[in-house]
Amino acid sequence: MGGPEHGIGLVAERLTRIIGRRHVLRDVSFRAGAGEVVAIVGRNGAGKSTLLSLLSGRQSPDRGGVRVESDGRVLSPRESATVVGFLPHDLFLYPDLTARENLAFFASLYGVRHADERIPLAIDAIGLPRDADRPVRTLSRGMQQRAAIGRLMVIGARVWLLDEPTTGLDEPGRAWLAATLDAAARRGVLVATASHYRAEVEAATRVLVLDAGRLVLDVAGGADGATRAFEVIEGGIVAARGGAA
Amino acid sequence: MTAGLRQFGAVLAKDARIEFRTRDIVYTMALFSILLVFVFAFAFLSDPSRTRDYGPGIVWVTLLFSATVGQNRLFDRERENGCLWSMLLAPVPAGVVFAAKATGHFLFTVAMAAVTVALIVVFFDLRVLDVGGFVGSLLLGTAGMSLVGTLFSAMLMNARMKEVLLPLVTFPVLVPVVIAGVKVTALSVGAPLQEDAGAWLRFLLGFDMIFGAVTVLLFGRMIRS
Amino acid sequence: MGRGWTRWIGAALAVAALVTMLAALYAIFFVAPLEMTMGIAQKIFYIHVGSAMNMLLAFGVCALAGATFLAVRAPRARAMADAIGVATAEVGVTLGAIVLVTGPLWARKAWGTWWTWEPRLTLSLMVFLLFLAYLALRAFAGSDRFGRGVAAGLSIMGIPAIYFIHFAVERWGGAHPQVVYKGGLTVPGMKLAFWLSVLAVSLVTAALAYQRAVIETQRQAIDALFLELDRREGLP
Repeated sequence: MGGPEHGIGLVAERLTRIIGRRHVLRDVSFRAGAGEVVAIVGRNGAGKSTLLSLLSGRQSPDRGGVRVESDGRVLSPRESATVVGFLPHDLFLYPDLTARENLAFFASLYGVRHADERIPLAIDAIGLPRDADRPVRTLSRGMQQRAAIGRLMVIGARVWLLDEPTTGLDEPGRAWLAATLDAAARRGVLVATASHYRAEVEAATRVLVLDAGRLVLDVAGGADGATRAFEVIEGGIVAARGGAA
Repeated sequence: MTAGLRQFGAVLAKDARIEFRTRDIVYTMALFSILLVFVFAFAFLSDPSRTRDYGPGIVWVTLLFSATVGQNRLFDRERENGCLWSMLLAPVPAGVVFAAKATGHFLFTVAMAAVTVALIVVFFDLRVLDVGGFVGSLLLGTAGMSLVGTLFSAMLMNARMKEVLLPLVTFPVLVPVVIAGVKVTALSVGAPLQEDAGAWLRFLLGFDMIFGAVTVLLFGRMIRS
Repeated sequence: MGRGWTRWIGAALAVAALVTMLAALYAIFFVAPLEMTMGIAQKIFYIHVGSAMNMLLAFGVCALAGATFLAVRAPRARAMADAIGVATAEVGVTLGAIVLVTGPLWARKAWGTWWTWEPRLTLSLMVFLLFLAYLALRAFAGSDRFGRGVAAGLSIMGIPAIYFIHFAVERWGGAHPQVVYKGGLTVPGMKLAFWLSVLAVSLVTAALAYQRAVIETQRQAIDALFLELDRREGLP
């Protein structure tokens, strides 16, 4: 079901996260490799955001672990930080800086080479050439999302972790996002998104279904995978548990 | 090593740019400090002959309170879009991020202090005889406040009652700084104390060095716990 | 550490503390002579100094626990460190309250004022405030791992802080340190009362801190049970 043999991949082993007296995630394990587009689905509160948070390093697991592998070699924490890009609900953009300034700042932070060339390219790719020099605060949510994706492009992330990136996007915006993620995957980026939308699940190459913190289904994407996934979610039962289909 | 320096510069420059653009902190800190000086003037100036006695204390109270007010504002920005973590998840040592934030606070507070202290010197008719000691104590004292304050305001960014918690936690630790600072300031305006300003300045320097090391080392561990 | 063990240690400490305290009180009132100028009020000194010494010791242990909490990853070690941290802090606050009440009572009789900024009393006040800040952080900075970590960081920073506070307040009143408490303990009866009191307060501190830490581990165990319950829900 895809593994990190070439390019950069993620391995999650028995990830568990406890908040107070509840397991928010329990024993979630999977491997995903370069070029995959993974859709993480589940009802609200199933643990999708937490899973992405753990994968990115934003939170530490209470049990289990995450590793980033490149051609079978485990990357050090610093190397992992260089290649993983996280796009949470908060967007990780400074609202009082312009999109261009945000990109330049993160380029400097990540030590990106040839930033002077990459930033304009990214701004074009995200479709913001006219609004790149206004403070992010003044942009619409959709444009902010685009700028946030631009950040992932500029820092050269090989793993993209996106938490419900289509929130607040209109139809053209969602189409643009789908195309962008597809293009990234073709370049070997491992894309993982938390999602509610059937269309996105169908476009994915892999579907992970979370229910009450457990990984209950791990199947290939596409129309069939989407159907099975939403059956499980709507059924509200722990149907097929674990294992690749 | 140079990468760290570049990243330090990037964070500092980013904060400077945001502050210049929004000018929030400037207004709140400056206004607050100036008002405080006025209140002290009305409270104490009924006996103008002894300004040498209470003047230094007023300088340090004002400095401590404005530094604390500035601390809270500093991390409001980072909290807004989760941005502190956007930096921590980058391949930057946490200590570098901390150092940049603390330095930003230091530079900012010193700039504010220049204005308020000038006001105090004028209103309270203080004669600064030892300018080196006067300025030195303010710089070293502010550095201590920036180090300790930045560490805890980062940690308390999301806490309830952080405006109350921050002073509660930092003031006991900063008491030595206030004691030492007032001593040197008093000596530099000619208070007849039998004290060695140099010794107190070295004390402040020692404080800054030890707490500089401790805060930089603890920051990464604490924020990720 | 099974439940049997814990009970035995707790009981042993409590009994030892009680016995020593009774012995100390006996020594204070019946062995140590009455001091000339202050009379019976001087005797509060014995408890006062013991409490102050133990408050500092409690802080040291709290800081060690805090350092352990931040440095290690194993959950059980962290839980133990956390329990010791909160136990020493709560006992430390209690000791601080004792010091700050007995101190002024003594000072009133000795110097005529309730409070002077005498170096050691001032230091005790600052340590008391640091303990309060520690507990406030635990209460308000989040009851999760993160909040505990912030409090642990404060306890660690408290060690150099206390060092600097000590120096600063010693020299605050002038170039010459004001040493007030020494002297007057040349009489063997007083020495006995003094050291017995220190031992008694130390044992009381240990007994209380131990019990508090045990209670905390029991609370942790309850959380673990709830967690286990939560884990089993949803299993077929």
